[in-house]
Amino acid sequence: MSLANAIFTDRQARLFRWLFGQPGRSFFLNELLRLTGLSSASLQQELKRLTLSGAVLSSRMGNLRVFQANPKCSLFPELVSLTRKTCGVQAVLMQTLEPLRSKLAHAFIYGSVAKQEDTSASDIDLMLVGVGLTLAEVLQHLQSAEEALGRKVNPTCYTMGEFEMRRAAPDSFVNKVLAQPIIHLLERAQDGS
Amino acid sequence: MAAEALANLARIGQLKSEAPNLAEVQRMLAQAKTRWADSQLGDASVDGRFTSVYGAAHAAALAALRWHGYRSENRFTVFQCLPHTLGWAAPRWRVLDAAHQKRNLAEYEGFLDIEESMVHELVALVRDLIDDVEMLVVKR
Repeated sequence: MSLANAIFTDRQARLFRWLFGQPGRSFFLNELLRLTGLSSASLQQELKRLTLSGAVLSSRMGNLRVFQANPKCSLFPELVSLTRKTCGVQAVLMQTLEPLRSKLAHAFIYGSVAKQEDTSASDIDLMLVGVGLTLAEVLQHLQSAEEALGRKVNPTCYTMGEFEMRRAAPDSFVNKVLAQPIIHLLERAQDGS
Repeated sequence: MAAEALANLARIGQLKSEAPNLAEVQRMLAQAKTRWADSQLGDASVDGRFTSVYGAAHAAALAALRWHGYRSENRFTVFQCLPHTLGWAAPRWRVLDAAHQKRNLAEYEGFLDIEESMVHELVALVRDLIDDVEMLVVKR
């Protein structure tokens, strides 16, 4: 049982992932149909509830209807955070990295996503620290996440030694990244191996 | 299908059409081999070896694109075309794209932050790339 399924219905999870997972982006009805894979009737029913309650804004662009998360809704920050943690970028990446868990000591998102300054087109910057990671293997696993999120993921991989060396150098890229917000995905207590 | 994909990219202006020139392809391939060999020099710095192997990757990928009758000044596009020019799967060409971003970070933000492990991975991958381009050229 995933957290997303415990908290949201399947319909909501599919829809929230987009509306509250990318709260700055507006979506055409057809776009949401395609992205969520929901039937037109189910989707319209969900959207009706969300717009009537004020959680989602609906407007018209020509004769097309456009939907977007409503930043003025009192629950907006909670919905965005809940979505990110259950079916957003963070959740998708955590799931994707699961098969690599044994090799990973530390995995986190940095850059615009972590700073919550991302747009729908922003790449997702990912830093991985571990043993025996190759970019080809990591990218292989990330492919499904990129498809699910509709965004590019840029992984940077370090061995533990490489990471620590950069931590020790005051002006390193790693320290520049760590001085800014990051979102932890996976962290393992160091066992010295 | 690959030919169609490349033609489509040319239609939307991502690629330029330019008749294949075998001498040019051979020259680029030779350059790729030289730069790859440079990346093997044990006493060179990690950054130097990275720059060499990255240069080799670009020269080889561009040679493949030229062989098919196209060109691009955009390095990302040159790597992005590898599924069409050599039938490479996404995780492989994306490693080259990651190298491209590293290089940009190094050249434009001054972070010369290349990992030995990445150079190792690139050296093996670019060896395969050069072999594949060679196969393509010899096959003719």
